[in-house]
Amino acid sequence: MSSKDYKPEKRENMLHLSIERLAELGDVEPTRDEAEHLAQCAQCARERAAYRRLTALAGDERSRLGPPLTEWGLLRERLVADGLVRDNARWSVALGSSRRWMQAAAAAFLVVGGVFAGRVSAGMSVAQAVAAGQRADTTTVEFRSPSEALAVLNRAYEEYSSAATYLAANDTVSTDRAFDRFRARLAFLDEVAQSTREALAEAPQDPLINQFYVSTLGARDATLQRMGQVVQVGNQLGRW
Amino acid sequence: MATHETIARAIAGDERALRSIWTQHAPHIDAVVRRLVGDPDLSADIAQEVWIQIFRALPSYRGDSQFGTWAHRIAVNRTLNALRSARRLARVEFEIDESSASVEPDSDRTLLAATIEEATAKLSPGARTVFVMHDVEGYTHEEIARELGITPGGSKSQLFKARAKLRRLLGHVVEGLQAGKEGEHAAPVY
Repeated sequence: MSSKDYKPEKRENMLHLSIERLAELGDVEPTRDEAEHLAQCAQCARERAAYRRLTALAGDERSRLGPPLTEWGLLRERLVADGLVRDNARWSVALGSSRRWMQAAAAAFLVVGGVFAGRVSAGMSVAQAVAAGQRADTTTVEFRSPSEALAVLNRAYEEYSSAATYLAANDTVSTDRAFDRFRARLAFLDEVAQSTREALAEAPQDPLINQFYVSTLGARDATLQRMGQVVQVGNQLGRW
Repeated sequence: MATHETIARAIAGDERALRSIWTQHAPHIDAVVRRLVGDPDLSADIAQEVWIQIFRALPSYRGDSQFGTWAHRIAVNRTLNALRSARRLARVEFEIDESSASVEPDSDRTLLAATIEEATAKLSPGARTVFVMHDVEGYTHEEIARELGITPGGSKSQLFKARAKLRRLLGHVVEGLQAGKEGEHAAPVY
């Protein structure tokens, strides 16, 4: 705005900047005439300051997040219908040759298994440990629908997978008794895999059981590899 | 940040990659939609369409900008299209809410708002869109004019009227006074 555009409005027997111009001055500099007026008029200066705060508040809004509007379960249905996601890709990839996925699943299982084992080693029975896990889950989260719960499960699974991958790569098991510990873990995993296989025979399409089964196999694979790394020179890994 | 590998897998239809992108960017993308639309129910419907559009457009992502920036653009465009089709932005340049053009005396406290989000919900659809695009999302008037099919002058006019109304609605906030205080309407009445 040039000086000749300065169009004061008469209010309360005094010339002031127009409301629209004051609003514009929320994020632009005043002309020289306007600046002179603002220096002398407390009312206009106060208004300009208010508009500047308003635009600053608006700018802050950009980084403000809110609860999600979308739900993965519903979105997935559309994506499948539109051919943008391979239906059943999850399980075919998981049960197929994706070694990377298996490693992530294995790492994730180590975390879950670690929490479980920690509870057992702390003196809980298996049933108590499972119950403790259930209590913790049900007291912290409430779901409104199965699809919402599944979406949360999937998100949580991804998060602990990446965390567990890191933890698995930084395993703190000491080498002197590592082989025995891995062997105990392997025996535990074999039992879990056997139980899960039996459950799968009853419910072959159940996503939770599938996920657990794949995780178990992945953890078993990872444990075998770790055993191979810590086996003493001259010994061969035969049976356990 | 979505990696090129994740995007490539998502384009190939890998559900985990698609979900990973959604998980990472939904808080921002959904927030943009919510700000532009205002109405919660309509926002949810449009957000779903936005995400479908983002996933459809993945093959066109060239990596010459941040993925979030690219997705943000799609979200704004798709939201505006959806609003247009709902006839909420038809002839936006002429859809001037007269109440936003004046700052008449108004002592009704129920009109006051506590947050920008609450206050923008009280604007007309056209004024809210321009205000959000300019002051929140950082679009220029020229860009807004192109997106909305109006003139830059029309965009400015809508913006200043929107600010004037918001300044009134948020008087206690921008003046730094507590809401509910006697004589709370800090905006002077000319």
